[in-house]
Amino acid sequence: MKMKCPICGLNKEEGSDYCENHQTAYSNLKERYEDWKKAMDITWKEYLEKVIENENTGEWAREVAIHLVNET
Amino acid sequence: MRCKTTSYTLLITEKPSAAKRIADALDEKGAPKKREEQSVPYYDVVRNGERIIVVPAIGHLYSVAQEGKGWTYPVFQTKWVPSHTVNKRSKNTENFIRVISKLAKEAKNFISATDFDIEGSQIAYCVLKYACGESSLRKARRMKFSTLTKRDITEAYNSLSPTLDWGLIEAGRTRHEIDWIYGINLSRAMILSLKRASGMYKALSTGRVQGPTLAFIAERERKIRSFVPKPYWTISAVALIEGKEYPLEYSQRKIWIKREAETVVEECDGKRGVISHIQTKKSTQRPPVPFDIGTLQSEAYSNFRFTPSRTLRIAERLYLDALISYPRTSSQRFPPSIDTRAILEALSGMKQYSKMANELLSKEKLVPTQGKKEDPAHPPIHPTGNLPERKLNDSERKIFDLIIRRFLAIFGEPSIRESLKVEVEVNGHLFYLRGRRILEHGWQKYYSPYIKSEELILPQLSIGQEIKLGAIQSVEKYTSSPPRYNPKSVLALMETQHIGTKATRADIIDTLYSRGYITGERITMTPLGFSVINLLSKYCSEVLSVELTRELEQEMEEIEINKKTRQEVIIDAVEKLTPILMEFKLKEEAIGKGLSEALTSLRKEQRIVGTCPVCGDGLLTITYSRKTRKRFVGCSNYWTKKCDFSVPIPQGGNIEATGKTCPYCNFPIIRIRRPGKRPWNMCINWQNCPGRKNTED
Repeated sequence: MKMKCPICGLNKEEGSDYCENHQTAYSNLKERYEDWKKAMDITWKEYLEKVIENENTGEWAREVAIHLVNET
Repeated sequence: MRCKTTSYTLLITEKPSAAKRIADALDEKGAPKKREEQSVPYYDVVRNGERIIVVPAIGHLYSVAQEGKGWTYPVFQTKWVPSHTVNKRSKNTENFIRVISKLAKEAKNFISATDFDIEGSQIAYCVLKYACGESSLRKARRMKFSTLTKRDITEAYNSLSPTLDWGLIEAGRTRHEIDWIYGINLSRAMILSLKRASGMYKALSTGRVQGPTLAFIAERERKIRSFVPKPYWTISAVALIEGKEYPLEYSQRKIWIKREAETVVEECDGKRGVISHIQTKKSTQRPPVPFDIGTLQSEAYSNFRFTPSRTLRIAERLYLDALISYPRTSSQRFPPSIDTRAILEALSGMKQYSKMANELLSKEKLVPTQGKKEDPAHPPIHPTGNLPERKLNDSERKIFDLIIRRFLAIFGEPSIRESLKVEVEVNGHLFYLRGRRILEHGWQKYYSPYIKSEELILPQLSIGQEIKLGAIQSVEKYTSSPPRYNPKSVLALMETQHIGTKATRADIIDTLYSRGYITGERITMTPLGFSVINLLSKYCSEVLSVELTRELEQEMEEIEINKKTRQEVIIDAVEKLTPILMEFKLKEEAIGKGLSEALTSLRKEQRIVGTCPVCGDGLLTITYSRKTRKRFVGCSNYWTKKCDFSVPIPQGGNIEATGKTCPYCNFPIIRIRRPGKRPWNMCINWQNCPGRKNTED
């Protein structure tokens, strides 16, 4: 049986933690953290909190960030 | 004395208003006799002792339909039938067919005087073939014109083409048949898969242009939704010169590291700067190119927020009033045959354009700018110089003014602008002070309401001059996702991707809205739209392929120039579609299940119009009365007996939430969309809204 995406309940992609859409957003989040670290002194958690608050953040990216914050 | 002959030439136009214009222009006394049968007007015209009956169609009187019975797929056998037999909305076409058939019996000659393009030629062909009889096709001649002015019409009548325009007709027939084959088969495949999987019915559709267009919108939506912003800093500073503040721009527009931005502020704060360099640059801006339909739609959206389909409808009305030339044109180049001076002379007779037109007429040479796009059938959209014979409504006035001013602007001189860049060094950091002013307005004088340009005049400055810095700070900013599409940018995208035609693009965008795939002026994909795209790309991605539709467009263009035949192109299209449909059939269950899930979620979402301001936490939801089956909006807290707010709403059209609240009563505002009508907004609390009462008072 295929596992469901913990955020939206759609099927997870093979070898992924999320569905296709949220997995793309998760990859973007990880990639962008490197830019934020270079730009300012920031921890992963602080970064996620900033991304959640930011009005330019896309809906799926925000959902993943909220999920990650709640998990930690 | 009127002509007494009974035999006549039957001249067929595309619409009743065009019939009247043509009859008025051709009748030697300018007073054709109007007759009417079964509510169909036609005109008895006498010209050079010959009798002409001018009779209108009302757009397409015939449509493509399925040969044989059964609501299934695949279906590739098509036939042409009267539109009223397959489309309830075409009921009024029945009388037109009857009257034209009757008039054709006594006609000795036939003239096709529909709009000179694929659709117009196709309309006349069907009327001649099916209403007037096959033999009329051999006798028929073609009248070609680009405006409905008396001059153009009489010229066109005096130089009739001896035969019909077969290239356009064949291309038109092929386009209709291929679009029908693609549209019907793919839409039925989707509807039937949904019905078989869930028993639900919903009008779903895709087609050879609709699919790729929706795919483009979906791709953008994915980028927006998975976007993560990146921080950057800008330096905000002002220069104080002669007691006035001028914005200073730091030489590095975006600073990607916070500490670096802070250092700039620390090192410049309270310091004085010195002007190290002054650069003045003059730039000329040529007048804009003449309007083709795409640029007109784009400009109307930018200035008035009119959707492309609305602009097209308005432009068509202005054309039928003989105020502008034929709007469905791709041309941005004026052929020498258009007497532009005469048009300017006519415009000089209109009070509000008189001064501008006379100014241009005083020029020795009148040379319009020419764009890149050409259309052999029609010139760019331009005013005819005629005055409106009726009071134009607000929207018509706006489009008419835009077209006239654009026409004036293309004869104008280039505008000349001077920009000034002053380099200011502050403690080793470089800042810019920028000024701009217009030296010569040129063509902008004529087009000024539709241009946004601001001047910033700097005081007299010199190299070595000291500049005092005002407030300076670093501002944290974030990158943003690519912008959402709007109807204008989707139209431009379709044009650059060469999908659809100038006549169909606007309607395709409307269909995406009416199917519930997209919503909002800043276009957002709905769950249903996403679901359709995901399922199609998973199970039959060819339907979304731009290449496939582009190839077909190319082939249809080749029919126009007799490089390919209708049969060849249709066979090719069917061969391409057959494997797609077979694949679809095999995966029908999975596709249907996916669609049904998306539809359920969409319907749930669409019923909610906002939060209830009466109880504060209920959701105002569109509900259907069990007794009357009528819809109304009620609060979801009704079921817990906490709130009993309810209000009647319009029964017709699609209702969607706008996400906005009424400034007067704080109730949600909904938008009502009806096919072919302009969407309108309404406060849910319309019965008691103080805003409404204010307006009525």
